[in-house]
Amino acid sequence: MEKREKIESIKNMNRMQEKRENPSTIYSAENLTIGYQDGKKQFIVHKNLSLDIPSGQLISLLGPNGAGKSTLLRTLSGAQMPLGGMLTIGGKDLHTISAKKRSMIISVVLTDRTQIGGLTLYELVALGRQPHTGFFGRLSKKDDAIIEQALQDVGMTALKNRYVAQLSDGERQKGMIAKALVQESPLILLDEPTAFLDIVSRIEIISLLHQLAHKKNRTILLSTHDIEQALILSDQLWLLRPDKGLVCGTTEDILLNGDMDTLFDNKKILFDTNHGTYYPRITHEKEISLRCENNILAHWTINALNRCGYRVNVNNEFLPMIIAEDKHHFKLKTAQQEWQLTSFEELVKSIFILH
Amino acid sequence: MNSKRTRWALTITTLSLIALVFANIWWGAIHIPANEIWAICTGKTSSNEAWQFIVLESRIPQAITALLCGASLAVSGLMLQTVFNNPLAGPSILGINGGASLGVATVMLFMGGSFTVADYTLTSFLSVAIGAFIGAMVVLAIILFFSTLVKSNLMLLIIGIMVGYMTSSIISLLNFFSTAEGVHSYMAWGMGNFSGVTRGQLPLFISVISIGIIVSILLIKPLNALLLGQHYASNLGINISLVRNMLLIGVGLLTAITTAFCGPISFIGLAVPHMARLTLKSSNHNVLLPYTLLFGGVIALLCNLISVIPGEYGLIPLNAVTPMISAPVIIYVIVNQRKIQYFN
Repeated sequence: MEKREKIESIKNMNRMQEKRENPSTIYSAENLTIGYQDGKKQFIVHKNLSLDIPSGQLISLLGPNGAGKSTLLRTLSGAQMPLGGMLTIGGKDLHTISAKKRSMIISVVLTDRTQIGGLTLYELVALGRQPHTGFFGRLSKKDDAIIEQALQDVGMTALKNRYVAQLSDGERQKGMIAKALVQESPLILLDEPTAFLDIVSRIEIISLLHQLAHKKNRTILLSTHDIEQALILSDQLWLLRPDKGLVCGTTEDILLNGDMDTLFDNKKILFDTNHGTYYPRITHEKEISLRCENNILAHWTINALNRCGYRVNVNNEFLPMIIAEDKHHFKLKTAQQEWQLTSFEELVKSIFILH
Repeated sequence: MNSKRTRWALTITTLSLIALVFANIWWGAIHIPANEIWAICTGKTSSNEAWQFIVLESRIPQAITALLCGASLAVSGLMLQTVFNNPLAGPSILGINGGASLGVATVMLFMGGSFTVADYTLTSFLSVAIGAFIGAMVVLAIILFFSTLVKSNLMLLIIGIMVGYMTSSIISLLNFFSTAEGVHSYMAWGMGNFSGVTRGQLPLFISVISIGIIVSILLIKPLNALLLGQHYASNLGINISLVRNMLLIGVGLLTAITTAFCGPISFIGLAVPHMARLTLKSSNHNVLLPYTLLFGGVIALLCNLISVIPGEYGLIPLNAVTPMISAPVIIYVIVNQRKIQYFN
């Protein structure tokens, strides 16, 4: 009990120190070099990374496969030594903090294979209390209350007595997040928490993380490939690019600075700033004109025409023209002829006839 | 963890354990009436001195040995399965029994059969036990080293099996150079037998096993964390290298002492943890580990009872009995792994 109080007071001291130094940054790295050490050989993944993690925000780390997202997260979590540079958390060098205290400052959700099918959800979440419990891991009433609260925060109270094996992938991931919550660490790092999940679970998980950051004041850094959802709910985006290093910033700044185009080193992929998605570049050999009043209809008509190899010009009377009135009324006009079309299927078929 | 189920399982297993201890004391090569046995056990003198001698000097030590060996091997298997994140790990399959056997063989064969299993003196016994301990620790250290290089569980098991083959080929070589008596006593030891511990050796045997079991109990909390894998466990503040060293000592001691006294007993370490998990429907070591100890005792006592069934016609070697009980469990577990919760 005394020991626990001592650790508690150290945590509070850390918080106070942070506040004096910099009110919003809880974790920072300077000139960080990440990579692997094998004997004397070093495999450097990234050099000279500098970053600040502001408190209470949701940060999404984006980057292509192999860019080093997992390596960066492992280094930040303390699981892997940096090859150079300085990691400072709460005013202290991360690697001078004991493993036990570190486990109360940083918690992780990983993609590792586990053997937890034979535990109940409650027992899984309770594992997160290990840094706080005594030698045999016995749970106190306070521990039980914290676990119940975390289960409620992730919306899984009803399932607490189910075996983990009986949970869906999304529910399991929420269980892991609850495990991280009961560690009571200010910082949570998640390595691709939405991988292998269906779209509903993906959106649920990222909304949950957003809520935890804003309502429970946890600082959350996750790596993800779900760019669309990340753009909507992340306070910050971190783009980790294989050769050009890391760019960090508030989501909208990153978007409108054109940084998104530098994320993937591939000329065939473009970022659509209007819609916040990446799309494949399609080469258009042919041109066609479109007249349409309805924005949504116009968007999808352009989509269909692009796919068929047409660049769309608006109201150019020297080109064949499509007039879209609604989704069942299209007209295709050329200098010689005019067709009435009642669906996209007919539209797509008939523009092939043009050539 | 279902607490009602856990309570039932603990009650039934404890009752079976007690019943099996009595059955083991009662049944043997020489028929002794049950009331006489009761009298001897409760400290009264029996009318037949030979009976008294048999019960006190042979059957009771044998029952205690079986119980403790079963518990030791089973809990070793459980620890190995969790730490290596591999449901098919166990002291025999990873070659740890083999290492202990090599240690025993080295000591026994170099002493040229100057002593047999039946009458260890304390020094000769100690040298055998130390040989076994060193052998077990060396193999376990090799496996732990390879586990940092080889990420695939299956490959690690195969390395364990290969190490096992290497130890047995070295043993064959030793046999080749040793005397006929040495080989004979080694062969007899190799069949497995819970009668190897005399009443005089029992205190030492019990103390060493207690140390190993205490180590296993100290590991309960880290073992639970390790269900999540090493990375999660170290994020929960678990010192992985300390856990590995404790595993080395705990499993090393338990496997070595049982192997030195009773021979390389196969399958109990592999199968009992599965029986325990299937019965409890839980992988939570808070109950699973004590229950595995208990269940290991039950299975070993059962095997011992079967091995003495022929009564006056002799003994069935223990290593002929353990696979008959354990191997079907492993096959069941492998066939049903999609349905069994702790695999998912």
